[in-house]
Amino acid sequence: MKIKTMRDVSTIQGLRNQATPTTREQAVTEAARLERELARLKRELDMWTANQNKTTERMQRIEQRLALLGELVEPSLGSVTERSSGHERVAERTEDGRQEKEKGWRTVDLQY
Amino acid sequence: MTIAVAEAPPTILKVSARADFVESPAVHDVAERALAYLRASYPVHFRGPAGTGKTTLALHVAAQLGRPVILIVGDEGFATADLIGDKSGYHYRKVVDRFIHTVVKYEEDAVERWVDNRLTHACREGFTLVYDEFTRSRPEANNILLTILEEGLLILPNMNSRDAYIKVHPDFRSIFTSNPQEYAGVHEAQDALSDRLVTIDLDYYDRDTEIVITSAHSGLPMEQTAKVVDVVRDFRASGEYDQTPTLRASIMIARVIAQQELPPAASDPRFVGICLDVLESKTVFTSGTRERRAQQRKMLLSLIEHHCA
Repeated sequence: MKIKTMRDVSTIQGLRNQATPTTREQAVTEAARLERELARLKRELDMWTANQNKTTERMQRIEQRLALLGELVEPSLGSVTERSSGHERVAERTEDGRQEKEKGWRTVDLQY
Repeated sequence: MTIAVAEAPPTILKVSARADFVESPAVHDVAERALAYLRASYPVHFRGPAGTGKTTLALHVAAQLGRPVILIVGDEGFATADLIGDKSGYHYRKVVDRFIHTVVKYEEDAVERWVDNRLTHACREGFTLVYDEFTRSRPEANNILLTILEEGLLILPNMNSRDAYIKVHPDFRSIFTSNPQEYAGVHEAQDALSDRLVTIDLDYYDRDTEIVITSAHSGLPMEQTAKVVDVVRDFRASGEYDQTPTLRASIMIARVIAQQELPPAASDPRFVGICLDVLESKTVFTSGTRERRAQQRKMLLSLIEHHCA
């Protein structure tokens, strides 16, 4: 490992911890320490997962609420959409794009 | 939070012929000529007096093109914004950033919102524009059409926008109508605009076409329709009126007598009454014209007697 700062310099304790245990007592001690550490990390992961679930639920509730507000503001809109402030103007569009757009047009039949 | 209200989609017309629409050889010929010009990307202008079927013909030709139709009817109150659109309202946005709870950052932004109008939609999407009675709009309102028809470019007044110039869609076509004999609420078209249009002059249809159209629109048998059409055509030929009696007058009379199941006979006072109601109104009613109106009634009665004996 390339040493850049003093943090990268191993301490005597660090060297001892990284070394392969030579006695049964050292091995058992380290195994016990690592088991505790593993259990702690599992608890931490559970907390993160619980937080993630909670946040996802909150986001879903907010999206539902925004959809409701969008209906109130503009019934034909159906849902609130994020748009850029500028109008998207496309002079030439593909055939598929045109068909997509045509679906949104309001059509009135006129007979002559 | 930003709530964006979607711009309402344009309302377009899906034009189709009625069941009683008659495409006589004369109508077919004019429509084919107009279509030839339109397919060559030239705008067509139908010009003719009232009752010659300009608007119907324009819609018929537009239907042949097979594209959605945008219909605009000229009006004195029209300004350029009524054709292309205008700035309407604002997009308002407020952001409160409290990513770090001790630091509050506010951002506010208001952007003017541009709303397209029908001509802009037509240019952008390649619709067929039918501009009915375009000389009823003031000439300056129609100036925007000059670059659209010549350079194929719609120039919008919002200079700061990246959309100040819109390339007109290659499928965009335009059909104009106007009545050169109209004297109420019309303007002269500017030469620059007239020069860009292929003008087709329309006149009243021949007798056979008028009979077929009137019969189709009223449901009256052809031989009975012929009597009504002859009365109206002879009255038109007499010149004794202020407003030209048109095909509409024939259809009015024929439809009413068809609904009431009256025969077109001079001996039936109800039929004579309907003819007088429809045709006598073609003269301006002033106190000084009483004698003329009496003469006109006499002439109308003799026409009815002659054709509907």
